[in-house]
Amino acid sequence: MKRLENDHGDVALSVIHVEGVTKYYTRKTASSSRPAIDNISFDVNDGEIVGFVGLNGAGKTTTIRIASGVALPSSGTITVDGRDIVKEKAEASKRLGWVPEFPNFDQNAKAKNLLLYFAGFHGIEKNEAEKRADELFQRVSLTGSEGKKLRTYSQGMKKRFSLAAALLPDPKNFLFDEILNGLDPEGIHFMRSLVVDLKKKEKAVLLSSHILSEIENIADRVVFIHKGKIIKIATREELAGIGSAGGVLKIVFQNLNDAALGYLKGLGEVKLEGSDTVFLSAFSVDPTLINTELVKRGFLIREFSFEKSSLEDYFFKLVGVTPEDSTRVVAK
Amino acid sequence: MTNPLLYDVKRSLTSKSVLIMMLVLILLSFALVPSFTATSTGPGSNNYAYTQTYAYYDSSGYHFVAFAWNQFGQGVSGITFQANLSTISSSPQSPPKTIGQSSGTTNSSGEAQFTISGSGSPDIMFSLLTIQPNNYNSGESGYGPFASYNPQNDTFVTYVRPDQPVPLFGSGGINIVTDSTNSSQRDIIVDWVGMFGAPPSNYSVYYSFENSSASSSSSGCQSNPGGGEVCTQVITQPGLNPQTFNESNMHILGTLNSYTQIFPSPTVANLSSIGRVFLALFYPNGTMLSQSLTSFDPTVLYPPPPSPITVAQGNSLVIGFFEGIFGLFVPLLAILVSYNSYGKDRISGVLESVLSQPVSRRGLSLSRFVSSFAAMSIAIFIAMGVVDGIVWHYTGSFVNSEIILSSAGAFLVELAAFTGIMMLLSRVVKSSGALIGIGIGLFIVIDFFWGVILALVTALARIGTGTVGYTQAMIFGEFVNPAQFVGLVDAYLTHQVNFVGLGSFGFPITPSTYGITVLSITATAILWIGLPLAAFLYLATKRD
Repeated sequence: MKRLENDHGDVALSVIHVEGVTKYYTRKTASSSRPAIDNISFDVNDGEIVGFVGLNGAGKTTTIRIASGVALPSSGTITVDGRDIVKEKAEASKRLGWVPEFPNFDQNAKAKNLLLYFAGFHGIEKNEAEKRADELFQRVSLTGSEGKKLRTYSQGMKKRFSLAAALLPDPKNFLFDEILNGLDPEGIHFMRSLVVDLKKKEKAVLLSSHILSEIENIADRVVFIHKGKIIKIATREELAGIGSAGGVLKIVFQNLNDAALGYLKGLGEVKLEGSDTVFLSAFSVDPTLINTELVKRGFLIREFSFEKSSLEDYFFKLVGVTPEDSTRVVAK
Repeated sequence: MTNPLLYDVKRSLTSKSVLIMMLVLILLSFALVPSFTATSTGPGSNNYAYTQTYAYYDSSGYHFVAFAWNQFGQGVSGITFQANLSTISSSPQSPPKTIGQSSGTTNSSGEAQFTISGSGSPDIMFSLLTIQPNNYNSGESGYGPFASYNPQNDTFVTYVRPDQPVPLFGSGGINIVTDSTNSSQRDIIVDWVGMFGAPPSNYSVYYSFENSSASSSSSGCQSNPGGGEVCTQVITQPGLNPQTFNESNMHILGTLNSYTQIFPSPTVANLSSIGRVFLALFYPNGTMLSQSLTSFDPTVLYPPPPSPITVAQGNSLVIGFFEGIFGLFVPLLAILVSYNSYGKDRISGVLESVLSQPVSRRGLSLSRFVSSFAAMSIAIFIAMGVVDGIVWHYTGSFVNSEIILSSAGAFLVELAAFTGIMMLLSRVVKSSGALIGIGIGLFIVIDFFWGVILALVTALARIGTGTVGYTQAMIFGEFVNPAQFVGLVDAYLTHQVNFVGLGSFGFPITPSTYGITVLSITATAILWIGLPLAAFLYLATKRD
């Protein structure tokens, strides 16, 4: 295992380590084409859920595909428990479970037979593999569909089957690529519970998703990627601070005047709506103190509310996208 | 554990491509190989019926009972017999007068009965016309008197008698046919008409074997439908005296209770001890129907097994079958199987679900190659085994082991080459449609049309057909085309080349003169197996 400092100077045990990975999808040189991912580095530690967030085409799936070993990096390395995913592919893959965004399996294979086939690669004995397979089918709610061919599976069922395949060898590390996409609320709840459960078992989980609220709820850290480059790696604490620091005060005055506006402008950015409503952002003072001061100065307040800034807002700010462009972030 | 390699072998072996191809090869083997191997001495298929007609007269007229049967003794319907009766002309001044004519057509049992009304006198000339449906062998079956006139005593010796039908031709009664279920065996067909035209009842058929040490001669013989000849009068010296035949010194074969009946040939312990086989029909009262007594050469009744072709001939024919039929399908099999087991999965992304397992890129690629190759090899060996079995069934011996092993080896090389080529192509082609299209195109060009291409190239290069240069060009073409590898091996084994280009050419060669040696064949095999595979593994390891 590699001991590295993350971008905050913390030393941690790194289980999935991405180091300087670049990927070109054409054979053109760097001077003539843009890489899909460019010199990205981050890690995922034991017992950690790392969210992987970015717009469509940012490079999330490319990164995860390289980490899972199904794609080759143009340069850089990815190691899993110290095993290079390219040079020590088999050893590294033993320690990884991968759930792609669009699982794709041999359509003519029966589900359980395919699972047993995968188990063979892990050296799991047949009886043990059968037992695990039965348990996993139950766990992912596919009981009764074990003997069916995968061509009969819906996309949701294929995703659950893919999850079962990833869980089969009980690896230490997981790569989940948009696993929440296309799931109903029950499915999302199931996946969320599963991911949290994996964290409790000290597994390392890299989770990419467009549903930023979900990432916000469960991720210990979030890696922001934009146009192939990592633009930010934030911890949960930082995200919590973003919430409070980045919030917006909405103040509805009984009698708004220039004096009130002048005071508020001295605190942060002011946006006026109508003749009586002021939105104050980018301020650093405790909102309750602002309320107290306004009352002291004799301003009559009809409404005083504070909205914490969301991860989504923070993300848009990071990538320089306005909320009106938010359609770019919705699920594909 | 579930061994991934065995899983892939099973998956390929039970794929539609392999199963269909195996079925096609086995069916072709069953259809074509027997025609290469067996030369039967049995009667070939005939498109005409054998016939016999009985006639008798009574006060109401002249009655005819006719039979028609095929080479198996089965009744043939639709055969028409037409009889014309006229008076016998005793002098030029009294020309014959027509008495009448009638006809009958055989029913599904091959029987026909018809009558010509008249006074019922034997002093009659008849002509009998037999008309077969396809007009084959139709024509006048016979012409003659119902009685022969002896001018010395001014009497008629009647052949056709009152009330008791007699055969108009030959001895009638007993003939040999081919067994309908086993063409190498012969049966005995007995036909007779009882008194007043009724079917016989409780007539007995007896047989006797004459020792081969007895000398005998025969006369009055005519060809028999089942082959050989049937002789009505036999003179034996000293041998058996057929005139002394009776039920006690003959063996019963069976009882006749219908117009025609088929009996199996009597069992014989030592065929070589038999000089002649006698058969006769007996009345219910034990009297022999002397007219029915016939004899056969035992080889007619017990034909020798089909003459096997020589081992060399058989082997040569099988080589041609392997090269021509198997050689055509083997590359196609490899293309289809490798497409299904690797190419399609790679392009569609299915292979990624396997690649994400603990297996290296090289390991997975090699595993798919080996599993496809193993499955196809098993299929080809099974099909070749079937061919070997068919050859053994018809000739009594298996195909020469050198031929089987060399052909099998050649097919393995072709399988490996085309598997490697298709898997290599799947690393560069982006769509599955394009991949299978290129594969099929490759098969058509270098398997079907290679000879034509070479012929055109030699023609453009002004190399004359049949020249040494032409042969060199053709053989070179076999070296550079993996689909022709089995031809190269065959040329080495048989010292013969066969080219199908703008015509078909085959002639003997000295293989070493044209560079066809064990060393060159081995080197070619290694290149065809190794190069596509190496290129495929390189791309599989180094590129997405």
